[in-house]
Amino acid sequence: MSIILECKNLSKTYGSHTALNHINLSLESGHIIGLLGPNGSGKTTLIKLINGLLTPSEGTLSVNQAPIGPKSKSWVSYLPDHSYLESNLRVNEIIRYFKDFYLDFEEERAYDMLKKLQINPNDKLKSMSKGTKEKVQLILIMSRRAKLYVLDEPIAGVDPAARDYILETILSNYDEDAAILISTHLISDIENILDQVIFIKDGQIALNTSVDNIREKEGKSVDALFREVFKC
Amino acid sequence: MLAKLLKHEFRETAKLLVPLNISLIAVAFIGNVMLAFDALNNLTTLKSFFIAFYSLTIFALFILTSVYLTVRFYKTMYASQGYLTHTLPVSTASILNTKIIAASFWLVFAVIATMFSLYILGYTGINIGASSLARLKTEIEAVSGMSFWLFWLLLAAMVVLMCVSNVLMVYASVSVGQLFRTHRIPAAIGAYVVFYMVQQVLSVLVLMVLGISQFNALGQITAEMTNVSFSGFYKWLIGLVILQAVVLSIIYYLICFYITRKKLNLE
Repeated sequence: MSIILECKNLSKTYGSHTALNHINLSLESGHIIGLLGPNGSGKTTLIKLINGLLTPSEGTLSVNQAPIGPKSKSWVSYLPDHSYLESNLRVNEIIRYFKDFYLDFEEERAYDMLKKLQINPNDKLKSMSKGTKEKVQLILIMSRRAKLYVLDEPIAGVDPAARDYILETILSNYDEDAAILISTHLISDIENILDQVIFIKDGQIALNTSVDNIREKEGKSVDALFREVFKC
Repeated sequence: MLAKLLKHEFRETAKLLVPLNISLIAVAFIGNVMLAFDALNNLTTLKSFFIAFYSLTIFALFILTSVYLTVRFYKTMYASQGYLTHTLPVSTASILNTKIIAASFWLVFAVIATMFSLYILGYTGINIGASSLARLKTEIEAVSGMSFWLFWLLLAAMVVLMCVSNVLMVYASVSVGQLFRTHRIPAAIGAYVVFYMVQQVLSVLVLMVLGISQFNALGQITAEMTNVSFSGFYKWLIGLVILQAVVLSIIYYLICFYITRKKLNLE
């Protein structure tokens, strides 16, 4: 067990708006953690900070004890919540790209998963359906042996069968030396694979506990507790 | 990592830009063949039409190259593809340097392709002759006051540096544009206009201030004078243009770097 992600007094402000307010957080390896909160709660801001897509206004964060930079980026495998690859590219071209930049990328695993899903690596992304594109993006991310996987809404906008496949893939990539952070609204679908949850509200952490704790102590599902905590 | 970034950048941009440059050479080649036919010498309308078409092709090459590279910079740095670019395990400097090197290369390539196409268009197969070349060499050395090769080297350096500073000005404008949450493209265009105007005003001021003695000397020249040499002036001017391009490039680079490093805010 090692600390994969550490945030100390982390804040991010945009002008007068505070997106993250002095967050203190520590994620250990070997966990699948749900980052749960309504829109505007600061989930995306935190994810962007972890990936070096934003710089903090205050505080620090580190991945595997390293500050955010090229080194930490080599340990983080990030799946954004939207399409971020050039749609004119073929899948095998994108695999070649990933293999070139990420030393932990396992090409065979990627092709294996594509084959199982009957996705032709020669196809261009723009010729694929949304669900297939999501699967391709997930395959690329999960084919890396990263320390921290950050998945932003990995199952939103896909059909239930694709959702099951995505969740299965996430589970089958469980590695006790790594942590998987999943940000989502679709809690009831995801909660069965989570073992830790973080509730984030108005830029602050409202709750950080294990799923077992919630089920045993509160006697509720994570979904039910979420609805209670974030009641409008 | 810079080498890998460059490899991929060139691979992607070559898909459009190599065929574009080859098209210009092809148009020049067709023109040469057409103009060579004696029978067509009387068809001045066709010849004029072709020259206009050839000029438009050159224009299109530069416009398309610039627009394509600008849009690509925006998409890969500040729009959705930025999520891939900025999460690669590479430094901000490597990412920027890749974009600048590749874009500058393609602009210089377009300049060289244009010069080559002019050569193709005008090629008649007749040998110019060593004596003509020797005369050209002497003339250039006399007018410029420097050796033939130094003259071309400085001219090439000037062209390359001007391409680099142009690329950086556009990239700095796009970077400033992304500081805005909405209307990023109009903001980028606005930034470009501002940069251009400031640059023009400063260039003229620098030229006037630094060039006082040069212009005074030029003003002393009368029609009766013989053996007047402008080489000092030309050397000074080329030096000034090169210096200006270097200074502007540094400023625009710092703008791009600071914004990308500290103020990145992807859509």
